[in-house]
Amino acid sequence: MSTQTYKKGSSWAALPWLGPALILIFGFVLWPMVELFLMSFRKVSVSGLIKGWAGLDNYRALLDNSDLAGTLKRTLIWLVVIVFFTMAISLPLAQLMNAKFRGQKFLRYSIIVPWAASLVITATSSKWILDPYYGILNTILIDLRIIKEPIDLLGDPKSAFICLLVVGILVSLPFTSYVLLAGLQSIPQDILEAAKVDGAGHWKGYWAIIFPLLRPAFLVGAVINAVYVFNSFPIIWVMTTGGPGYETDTTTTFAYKIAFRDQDIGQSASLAVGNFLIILVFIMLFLKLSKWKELDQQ
Amino acid sequence: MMKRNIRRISAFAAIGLAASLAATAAPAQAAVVTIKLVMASYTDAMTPYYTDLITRFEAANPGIKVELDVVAWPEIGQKVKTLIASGQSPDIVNNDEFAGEAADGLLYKASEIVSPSTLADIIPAFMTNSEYNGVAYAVPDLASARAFFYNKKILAGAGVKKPPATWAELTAAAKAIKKKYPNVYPLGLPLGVEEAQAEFTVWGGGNGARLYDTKKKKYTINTKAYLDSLLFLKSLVDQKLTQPNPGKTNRTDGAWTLFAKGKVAMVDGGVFLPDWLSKNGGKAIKWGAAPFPHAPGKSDVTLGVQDYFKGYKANGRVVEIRKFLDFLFIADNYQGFLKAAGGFIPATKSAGVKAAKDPIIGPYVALLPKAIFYPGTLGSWAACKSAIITHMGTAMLNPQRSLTAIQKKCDAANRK
Amino acid sequence: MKLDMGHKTKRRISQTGLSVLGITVALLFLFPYVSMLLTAVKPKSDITDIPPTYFPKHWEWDNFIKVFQELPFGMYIRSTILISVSTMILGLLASIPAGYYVARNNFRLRTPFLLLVLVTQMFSPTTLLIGIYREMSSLHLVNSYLGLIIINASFNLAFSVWILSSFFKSIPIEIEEAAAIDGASRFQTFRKISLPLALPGIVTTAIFTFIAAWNEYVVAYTLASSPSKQPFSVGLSLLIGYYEVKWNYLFAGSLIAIIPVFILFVMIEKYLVSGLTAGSVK
Repeated sequence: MSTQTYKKGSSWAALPWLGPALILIFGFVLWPMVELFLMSFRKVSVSGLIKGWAGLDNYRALLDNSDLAGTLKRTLIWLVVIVFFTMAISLPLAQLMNAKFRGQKFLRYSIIVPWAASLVITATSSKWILDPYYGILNTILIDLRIIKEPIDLLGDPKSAFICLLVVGILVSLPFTSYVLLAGLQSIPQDILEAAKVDGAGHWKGYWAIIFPLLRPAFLVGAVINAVYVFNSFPIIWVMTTGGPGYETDTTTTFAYKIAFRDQDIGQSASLAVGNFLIILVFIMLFLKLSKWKELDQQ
Repeated sequence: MMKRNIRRISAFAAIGLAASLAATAAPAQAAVVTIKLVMASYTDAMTPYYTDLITRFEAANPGIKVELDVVAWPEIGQKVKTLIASGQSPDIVNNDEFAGEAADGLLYKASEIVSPSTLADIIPAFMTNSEYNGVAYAVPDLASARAFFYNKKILAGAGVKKPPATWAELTAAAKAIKKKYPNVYPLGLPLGVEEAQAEFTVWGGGNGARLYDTKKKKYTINTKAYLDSLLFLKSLVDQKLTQPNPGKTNRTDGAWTLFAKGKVAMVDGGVFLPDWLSKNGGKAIKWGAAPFPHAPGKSDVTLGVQDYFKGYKANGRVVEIRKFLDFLFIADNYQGFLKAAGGFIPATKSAGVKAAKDPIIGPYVALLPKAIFYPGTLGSWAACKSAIITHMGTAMLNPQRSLTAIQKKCDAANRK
Repeated sequence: MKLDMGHKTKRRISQTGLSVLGITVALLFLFPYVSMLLTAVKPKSDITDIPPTYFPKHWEWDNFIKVFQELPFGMYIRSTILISVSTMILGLLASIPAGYYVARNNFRLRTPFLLLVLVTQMFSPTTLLIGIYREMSSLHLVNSYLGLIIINASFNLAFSVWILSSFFKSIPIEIEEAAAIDGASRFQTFRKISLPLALPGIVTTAIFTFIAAWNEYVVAYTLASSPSKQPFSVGLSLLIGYYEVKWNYLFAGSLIAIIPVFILFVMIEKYLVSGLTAGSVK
């Protein structure tokens, strides 16, 4: 396929074909970006009216916000922990999904469920399971004699954040494991056989032969997952609204809270600009890692 | 097979798109004037109440159509803000803040949105709380006062003879309850986002703390009085004399629910709690209501809260707004409102006379002179309140840190 | 997790082992949803038992019907279908021609275009919420279906273009050239030859967009302020937390909302894999 030739054409000829897509991209992805930048330099009243320009005041207020540092730290942990565990679990999981056994279909379909369910549903159900009074988890833990009296895992900042991480991993797994499964299935059968027969043993064969072939899928899965995780809002919002206090906020929920709870849209916009810059870093990373042009040309 | 499905899907889809375009195009045909309502959901009974009210209102006023949106308390501030900022300003809002909007010039004056006779019927003290810079911009819809509710059976069973009047008595009572009933949380402490500002105000108030100093025009949050009251609450939390998670417990889905089940022995309730209990599985609870326990050497206070109807200028619907609010304040309709909201103190004199005789509500009407109110006439209060609410979530871990943060945010809002 | 596939003697044991392992893992994934199901069929009086029981005392399956009276789920689902289906159509209308064109043509701005697409893929509406909100305000599209449809379609576009272009690229160009020699126009070739051949890709894209719109939360949470405009994800989240929540109905409704999406996923499972392969691996 790499020998494929392109028809040459002028960029104007492309317009009718690309037009609708360009309208959507420029009109509804890039325009909001511009609006966002402008808002971050504006003075906005508590009821949301624009009262003129604010210079760098919003940015100063943000840097002066006592909960910013903690939020940034948590965002980093959120990202790193979820992506790491997601990738580390999806690899064996994809292998399992690819293996032949009775119940394989059941496994594959079960993994689809968290993907099909909206994040709001999964988060709601998790919140219910974790409820200190009515939740089933406490009952299970008590019946197993692990704890003596009900605990409220979402009530304490540390344990709440850990619960959020676990749910974050759960909902990330379907996508990445299916990407890796797809990667596995694209590996020709004879190579797989060769890896098995390789007398040097299983693991060595796996890492030497199969993993390198999976690398592109792995990388793409990881970066897409990272972006997804970074932007993830409903899990935190539904389960804890970033609370107690601001102790489980990441930058996305923090920005929302500043805008709509603390009623400071200007400051929130300046944080959103920060988020925007972080995502730009991801994009650079992705472009560098994936050598996307080569990917495209293949 | 796949192909047939696709065809079916796309046919379906085409219908969907057409329908959605039709749906968005529809409002254009109006010769009828539409007013938009965003109303706080005191209880689940609000939506049926308004639906009925609107049906009758529309029948009586053929030229006016009413669009209703009943919103939960934690969402309503944000929703109104969203609508205003998006140029879709509502015409009437019922919630608990008005001063910020009055400062931004968004609101009609109270005298413009109800008839003089309706206005004359509102209790004067409540009108004063509706003023921004000396002009009333909102019409009070109802008010509430708080009391300290206790489960008579549990207190008696634990040998607590009378409801605790001071902090020391509260601690002692709580310990006695814990000892006798290990499965009961002695005090329900809802510091979650639903109404943490109420707990903060009323417990601090019992130690002489006030939110705002009107002479210095400054918020007075980061004070020793508030710190001591939080440290007192923290001592209860640390001794496991409260439910385990004050920072995320709300009233309605937490503290009160537990109280209704006899799992919490004492809780901050209000005039509306008895009604709530009867609707939410707490009928069997034998409750008593007492003044809040206070700090040594201080006197007890109650928290008075009043909410508002507000008319918004953006759509210029002052005539329709006035018609609707006057309709709502017709005696029977207003009684229905109070009933749906669930046992509050009425804002009108005429309904107040009746309420003063009510065995449950009456005592609270008498209690009002002892009440502290929020500084709701300040444009900055909404932002300050939000800071209190969020930071109460962690106040039981580090009270001083929370107070510092709240003070800073309230000062910033005050400067704006 | 060691997957022993090598030794024939151990094969049968490892088969059973794999089954046990696979089913255990599956159940772990299903746990939150099974737990929802068990709550959904509980009678109201069981819901707030402290501590809760594992299984309902009576299995009230008709909660799945009652939910439509108890909560406004019918309305939410109607809005959700309208929004998702329209998003899907709008998304396809924009992404199919673009995907096809970049797969088949080289033009000076091709690389910038692909880069642009890639960049938009990285941005979710969450980050740009305030911007979106301002824009929709000035277009008077706050609290409208159309606003949600356009935003959903725009932010899912990148993924669609990306996958579709890979699909079109995988169709041998010779087939199109043969058609062209027979005198077919550019558009005819596209419609008669390439489009049917890329069908699996199109279905995958369509379903992906549909699901993304079906489950979308943040934008609708911010923009759709009246209940009649809210998709079920928003409606659901707003029903929680401040009143005595009818958890059994809430979960019955949620499970109903999962089912169509789950069926769609299962329908395209085969294509899902090949679609992702095209999108991410090749």
